[in-house]
Amino acid sequence: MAERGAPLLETRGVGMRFGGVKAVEDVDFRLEEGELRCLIGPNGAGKSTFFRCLTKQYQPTSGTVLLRGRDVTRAPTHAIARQGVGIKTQVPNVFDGLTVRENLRLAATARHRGRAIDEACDQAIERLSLKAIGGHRLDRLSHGQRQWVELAMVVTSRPALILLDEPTAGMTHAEVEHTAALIQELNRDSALIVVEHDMQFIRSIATGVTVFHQGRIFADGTAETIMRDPRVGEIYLGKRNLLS
Amino acid sequence: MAIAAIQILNTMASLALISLGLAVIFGMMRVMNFAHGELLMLGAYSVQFANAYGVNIWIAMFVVAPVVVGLIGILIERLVIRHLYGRMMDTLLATWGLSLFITGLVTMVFGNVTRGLSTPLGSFEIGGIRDSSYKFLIIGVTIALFVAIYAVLRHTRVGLIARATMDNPRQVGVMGINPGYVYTATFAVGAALTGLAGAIMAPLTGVLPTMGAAYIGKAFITVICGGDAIFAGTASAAVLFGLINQTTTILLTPEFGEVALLLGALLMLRILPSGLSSLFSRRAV
Amino acid sequence: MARVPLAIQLGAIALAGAAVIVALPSFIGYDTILQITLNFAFAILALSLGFVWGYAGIFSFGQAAFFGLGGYAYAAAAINFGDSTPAILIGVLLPALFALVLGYFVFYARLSSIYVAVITLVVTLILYKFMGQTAKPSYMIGNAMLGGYNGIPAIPPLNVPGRPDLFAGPEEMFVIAGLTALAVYIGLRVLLAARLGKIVVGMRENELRMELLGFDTRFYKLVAFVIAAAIAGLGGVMFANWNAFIDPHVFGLGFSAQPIIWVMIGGLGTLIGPILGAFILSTLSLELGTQKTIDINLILGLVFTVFVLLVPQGIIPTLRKFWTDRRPARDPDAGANASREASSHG
Repeated sequence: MAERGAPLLETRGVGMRFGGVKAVEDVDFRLEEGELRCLIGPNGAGKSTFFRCLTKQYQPTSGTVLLRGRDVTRAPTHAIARQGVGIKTQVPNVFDGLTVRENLRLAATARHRGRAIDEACDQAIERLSLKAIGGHRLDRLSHGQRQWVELAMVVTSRPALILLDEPTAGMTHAEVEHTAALIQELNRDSALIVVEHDMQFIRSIATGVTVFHQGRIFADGTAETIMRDPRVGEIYLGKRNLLS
Repeated sequence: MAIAAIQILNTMASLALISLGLAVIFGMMRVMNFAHGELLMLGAYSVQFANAYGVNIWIAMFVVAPVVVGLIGILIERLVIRHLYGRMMDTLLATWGLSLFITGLVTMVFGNVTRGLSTPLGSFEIGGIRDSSYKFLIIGVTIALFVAIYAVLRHTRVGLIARATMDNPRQVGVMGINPGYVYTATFAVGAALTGLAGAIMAPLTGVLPTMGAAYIGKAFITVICGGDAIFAGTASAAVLFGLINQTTTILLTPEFGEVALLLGALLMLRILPSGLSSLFSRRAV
Repeated sequence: MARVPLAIQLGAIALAGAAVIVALPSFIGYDTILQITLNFAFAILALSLGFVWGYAGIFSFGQAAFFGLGGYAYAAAAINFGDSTPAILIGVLLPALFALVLGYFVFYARLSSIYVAVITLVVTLILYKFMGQTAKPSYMIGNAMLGGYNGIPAIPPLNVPGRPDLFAGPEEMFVIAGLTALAVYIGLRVLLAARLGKIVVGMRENELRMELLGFDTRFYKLVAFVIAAAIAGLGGVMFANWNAFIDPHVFGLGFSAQPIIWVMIGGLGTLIGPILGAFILSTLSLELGTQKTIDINLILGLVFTVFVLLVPQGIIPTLRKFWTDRRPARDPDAGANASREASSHG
């Protein structure tokens, strides 16, 4: 089934238009197994739309999406998830009335049966250091904690690829640091695509960066080279250099 | 053949007519008014009652019925709908409770009997088959109402305010217009149109407390299958379903006509979940 | 009742409930037996809606129609076979099959909950009209005449499997209907504690998250819808038995309204609430039905609208919330569960 040597995720000429507006246009994108990549770009650059084309919250209007060489362009959201893609949306999509552990159990139900459910939960709690709040209901947690619980829910299915949409939005400084550590922990088992604004954060997880601009891929490279690239600085903030 | 064509046109127009008020309320306010059938029924009672007390039939139909039902609409909006904006499901449930209540009230006051109302206008004859000229009135009034509503929404200040409020009530409030009034007025207009439709249908069906049930299914399906472009959508759904319904009725029986209408609607929604108007328009009006 | 394992809890309810149901006919009069038997059939209908609406979050106007289809299917099958056993099965399967087809269209088209409500309503209305015009002799199913608005009379009662001569009298019928309602209640409790139940409730709470986790929500909605239709059909079988008669009024607006009122007033997101609602309101309807001054719809409609506006959670969750709010939460999880159920509206 899976093509040998095919990248984990590949898009060919993916485009998304809303009426007359081309939000994303002709994007060729590749991600290898185990890679960690950030998508950045100014507001309206199309990175979030591209993200939603990958998760099928939007159905791309043109192009092809391949997961390990398999065409998933027309597969619905749940089928994408079933193929080993874990997705965390921008606004936490969690179950507020349930405890952390119940949330994780529900998530683990998607992939596991019987005792394996508990094992997957324990492991996720361990990896995301949630032991202390395991019995708390989600509506009593801080914004940052809710985001981590959602990450843990994603991890229970042991995905090959994790998609994160602005995981640090609205977090305190300390929470951002913790999240960076968690992402690196997750990267030991899974490839990740992270849509992010925070340059400091991107630098701290030291990663490959893809820059979106006006619906297209504008530049590719390591965090350091991208941030020193004056062209990127210009489109991003109107500054010469992102580090200044 | 000519008679069949007129009957089909008449069914299309009737569908559009009984759906128009619902389309205004659902399209503009996202309120699914389950008491729609009862507003039609109240319109029918208004014209019957006024006519029985000596009011000219046309005045009763085109003035009394819409005004009475419009006022009732204001009452409903103020007492019930107002408290449930943004909660679509609760609005649906509350208006449905209202529909039971109104049916019960009218049954108590007027009794569970059918009252007749003679059909104005005579009949015409084509090829030896006689039919009521009233059908032409229904077709004419429906077209006129759709054109009028569209023109008001598109080309007048009131229409602009109404559309803007549905779009962004807070911003309209900032501009010094009370969005609450706009909602009340919109609901009242929808109710008045529904009352008028009920009044126009009354001579054909007779007037009784449970008559609303005969209409709501068709009206809901027409509006829902119309989709986002509410007026063009409702009109095109009425044309499609009117054709299906009347053709099946002529070939089989009226019951099969309604079954065919429903099956057509289900099939259509499976293929086009966002309604007929998603084929030709993305606009909201 | 904090922290009693579910199996023990349900076992106790099953034993106590069964004991009461079996013993009760000896203590109550004939009229009461008949009234409560009807209430049991209605309780099953209420449970079906309580499950699909309160837990799966699918508001279905059509539960009464599935109930009616179950009754009609049982009637036609029992008249033809002369034995009630296969008829019961058909009475459950036909509505389930109907729900499968209808549900496929609405859920796989991803119609919103409002649209699902409207379409189930329209289907009910059309069934009413359609069954009403089946008076012609051409509408025969084997030996059974559908009979239009006159309905099907003389429906054979339940009998011992294989022995049509040994059939249930009113007291046996009371026990059978009561135990069936009890079994449906316990079955739903077990179902909700199992994997499917968790998924269904998760879907009601956050559909997108469930999809992102890899659940095909269209499929699970369809499953919940079909299960609820089968349960409603079972209620219809009991009803047709109780009445020995069925007519199209079970598809009428007035009848379809009843389970919705029971569930809304008893409490969404509970199972005991709908049962309670069915018992209280159908008894009340019977009492009100005997007088002529005030129309029953007027009262039901008024009560219902007021509940939507002021007590949208229904009686049971509101009482539970009141109870847990008054008591300082010694056991935080117990309190959390109750208020969670109370907040599960929608």
